[in-house]
Amino acid sequence: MKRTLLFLCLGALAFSGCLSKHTGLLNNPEQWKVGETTRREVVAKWGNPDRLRGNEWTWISIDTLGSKFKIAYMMIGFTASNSGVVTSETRMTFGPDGRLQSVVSSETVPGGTTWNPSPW
Amino acid sequence: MRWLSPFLLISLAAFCGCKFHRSVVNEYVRDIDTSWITPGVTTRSDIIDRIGVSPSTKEGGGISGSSFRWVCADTFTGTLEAGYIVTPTFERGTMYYSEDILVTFDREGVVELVSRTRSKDGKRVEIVEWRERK
Repeated sequence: MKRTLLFLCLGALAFSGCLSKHTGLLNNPEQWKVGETTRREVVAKWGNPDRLRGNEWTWISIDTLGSKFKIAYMMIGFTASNSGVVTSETRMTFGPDGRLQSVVSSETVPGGTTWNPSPW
Repeated sequence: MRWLSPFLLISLAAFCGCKFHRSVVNEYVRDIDTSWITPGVTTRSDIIDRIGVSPSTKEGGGISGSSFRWVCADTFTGTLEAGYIVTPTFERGTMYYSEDILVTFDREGVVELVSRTRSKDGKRVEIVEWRERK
């Protein structure tokens, strides 16, 4: 009985971790082609950029993942939770004709950042 | 029928902990008229006179030396706390900009680009207005 209860608690904790996710819009930056893609095409897929600096436009997506596990009875309780933030950032520069000149994407996870420069 | 009672009991415990939450921030953005803004003609002062300065916080849109942005943010969150004594919490949420207006300016403060997008679910974005200076 105790082993079954422990198994159920651990299973519920793992399952709740799978479901606790806030999803962002930004994905598949490889679809954009240098020299071909226009600003309007990117905005039509990803929406307006989150940061502008001259001809450099940046889109940022933030995913939060977390799970919580609580045991409580009357006045006594125990809560365990964990969460992490994954930030995806894609930085693009456009020429005077509005066409893509360069694209760099990055993903920051707890523990570090990995950068993926163009071309794909 | 032996499974019915435990099933009903578990369902009752599960539904008691359901919570759905929706919030809309800056709903006024949907009513902003941007059809009169002409790239190459309209200036930053014209926009400030007719619409006002965009919110300075990122949650409201943002303002910089070369752009104004207004956003209407929709957030949906569903939470399920199922159980008694032992209560794992399940939560799923999404936040997206249902209305997004971006206006960029050149160094003289003249409009270069007007971009207005709309999204109903955060997955598909539709450009409602796009005018840029030739």
